[in-house]
Amino acid sequence: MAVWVREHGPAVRGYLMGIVRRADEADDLAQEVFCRAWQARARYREEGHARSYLLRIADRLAVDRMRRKRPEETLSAEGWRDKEPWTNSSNPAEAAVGSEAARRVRAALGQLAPMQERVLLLRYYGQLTFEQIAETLGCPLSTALSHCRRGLESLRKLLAEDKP
Amino acid sequence: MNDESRRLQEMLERATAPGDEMPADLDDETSSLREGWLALGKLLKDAQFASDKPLDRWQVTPRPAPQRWRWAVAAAIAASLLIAAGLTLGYRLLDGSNAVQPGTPQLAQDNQPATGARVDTSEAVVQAAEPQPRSPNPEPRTLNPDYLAWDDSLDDELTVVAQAAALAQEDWYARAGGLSAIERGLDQIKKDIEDGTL
Repeated sequence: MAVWVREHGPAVRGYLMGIVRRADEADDLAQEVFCRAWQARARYREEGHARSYLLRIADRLAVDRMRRKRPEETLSAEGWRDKEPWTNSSNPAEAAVGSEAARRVRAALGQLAPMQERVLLLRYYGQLTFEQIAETLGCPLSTALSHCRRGLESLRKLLAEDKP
Repeated sequence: MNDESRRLQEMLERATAPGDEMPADLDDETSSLREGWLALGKLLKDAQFASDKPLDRWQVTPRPAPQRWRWAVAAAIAASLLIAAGLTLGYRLLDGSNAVQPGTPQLAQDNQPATGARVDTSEAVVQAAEPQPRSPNPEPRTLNPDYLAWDDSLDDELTVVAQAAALAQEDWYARAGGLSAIERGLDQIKKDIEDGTL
């Protein structure tokens, strides 16, 4: 489990951060992911897809968390920036860049449909194949491909308009 | 998978391939998608979403597996107790009219409560001075399968029990009256002694 945390922890946390967009919640959920994986270790079959397996757990937990989240807890991108100037850097310059980048990521991801967001984040952090992504999301392969394409097109337009 | 889907998958796999570079051999559509992908990757990297610093603080401690067998044992014990209590109560209800319970008034257990109860007060004095012998416990009742039919002997027995209870109450009043008569007699004797008539 320690090896899994070391190798896949950042990817799992990154994915969760992209979905829930709060550092504390992402940390909580990431720990929950590894706890679940530990509890289910007897049922896990090692086939070289540990990251896919962990991200599948992460996806379910994150989606469940987002469903249960009350609407009044949802903040705009600016609200997030004010509430939680998010960065792990101790360097103020890096912190400023990280905070600005986080704001732009949140703003960009917030414009995507939830499924587009999940497909892109699973592909980015998990480097999953599209078959694995479709399996994780429980949708046909063609649907996952379609979401990825539309998500990338939207992102390119959004980020082109939002260039600093 | 049809050709269109296969072509789209190949295009997306190239557009979202790992790395920060833009391959030169991409067609326009794939290049456009690749631009969006690289921009997203740069922002995610700058935002440090996947930072591993918080991992230092993690303490992944496995939680104990839920011990459901404890709940099952507790439920089984509770069910057993309920069944035992139900059986005991049912048995007592069925057998209660015949059972002699210690501490209960004797008259309530007599088989012939009416014979001694329907006397006047003067006779009751004598009756109270001579306690009636307790009747032995009746034979244990055997369960009759016809007991629970409507208009069966159970109804009759309920009526008998109700009447016996009413008569026992009357008998108690009669005995209470007898006790009062004894008290009055004793008072009279005491008074006569004091007066010197005795």
